[in-house]
Amino acid sequence: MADMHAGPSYLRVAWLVFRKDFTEELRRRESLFSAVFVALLSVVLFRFALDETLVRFDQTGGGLLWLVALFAGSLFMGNVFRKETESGTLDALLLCPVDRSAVFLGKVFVNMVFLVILGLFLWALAFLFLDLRPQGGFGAVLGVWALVSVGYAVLGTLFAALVTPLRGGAMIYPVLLFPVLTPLFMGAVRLTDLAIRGEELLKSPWLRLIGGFDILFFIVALALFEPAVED
Amino acid sequence: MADEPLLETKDLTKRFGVRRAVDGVDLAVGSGEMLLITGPNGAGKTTLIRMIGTLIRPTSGTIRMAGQDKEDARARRRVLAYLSHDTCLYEHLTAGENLRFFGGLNGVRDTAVRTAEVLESVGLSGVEDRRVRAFSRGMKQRLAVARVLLGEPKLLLLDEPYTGLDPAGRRTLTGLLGDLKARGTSLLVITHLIEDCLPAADGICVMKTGRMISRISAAGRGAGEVLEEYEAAVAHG
Repeated sequence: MADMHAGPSYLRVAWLVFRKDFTEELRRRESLFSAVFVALLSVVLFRFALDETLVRFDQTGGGLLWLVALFAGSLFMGNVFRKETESGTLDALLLCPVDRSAVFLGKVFVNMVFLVILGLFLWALAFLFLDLRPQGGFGAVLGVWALVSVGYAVLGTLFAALVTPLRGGAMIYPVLLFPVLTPLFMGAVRLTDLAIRGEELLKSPWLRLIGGFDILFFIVALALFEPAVED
Repeated sequence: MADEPLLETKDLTKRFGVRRAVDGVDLAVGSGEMLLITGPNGAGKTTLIRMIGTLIRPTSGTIRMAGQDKEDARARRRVLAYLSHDTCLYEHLTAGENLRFFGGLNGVRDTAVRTAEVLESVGLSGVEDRRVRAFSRGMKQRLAVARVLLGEPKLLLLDEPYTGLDPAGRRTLTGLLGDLKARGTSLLVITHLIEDCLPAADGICVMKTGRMISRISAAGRGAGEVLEEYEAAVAHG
């Protein structure tokens, strides 16, 4: 006989989904590796296309890296539910007797981790190819990266759930997602530039904008997920 | 059969725009009962079963499980499982990883022990550490059955479970469904292959254009007699 209990806790569900998705993605080597390849190609192209006598990477580097993150990140985040529908596993997931927002949270966690991995990779490339050395140290720029990744992962995951049932959802995904992300990425570029120049971050209004964006959309997305996947 | 049905729907309706995919369906499934749902494509069979499985929200009507005071979708998910022609398995994970993942989400306490038990019950002992993508279609379907057995559901919803199976696979699946019924599990099976399921079935519900047009009793009757009544219902429905 199966030994049943009241059910796994909310965070346990999120952890199980995170661990499953992370393991699966490392074995599939599709989405994350595509994003990493796009990142590599973009930074190498920046190195050869932009004239260093006209473009100062310490002033434009933040914008360039976030531009790459926007496109590369959407490559793997857009797949997070599509791969579940292709294999039919989304139904099996939604039929488990758990709070469905915990499933969403697990997906957000895995996207956040992949965005941070992408960020580490991008900053290493920027150091090597663009000679980008943040005056405030790498801790500050990676801290900004992690903070922005929260909002990006939350919205990227929610929109992936919304477009998955739609015909041509992969094409619609960036068209719907990118405009909503505009305030977050404006703040990300400004705050990253401050971090590169080694200036004070804590008093910046951009930090408050990003923090507010993260909290607001985190709450909204958790509430919207279940209606989004039902029907 | 118990007096109170395990599952009861009343006037269950689902509209997509102006189209009524399911139109006022009343259905009762008793404990340990096996009902087949059949009908032409577009009859609303899958929509009906997906509403019962909490995957689609009904437009109107009620769905109630025995022992549950209100329509609680999450409580309903604790006692039912759903198996479609999609195996609903992660191909890049091993058989054991799939079962432990779903076992964890379904609140099975000792998932390692239960995984070994259900694998043995579907004849897949020894493949726990093999990735699902290397399995044949028949093995995947048996593993899918193992997945739905993890939490010992009271009600099993099956949507065209025979799709893609060869005759040997179909016989194996029929045997597994018969075993489940014998153990008291209720089964609601959408299938066009009613002859495969008929020996274990208690009844056949025929749907057409969203409505339940006929319910034919199959228990204790010969297959020929039941099929004759079924064909008459389809022809005149």
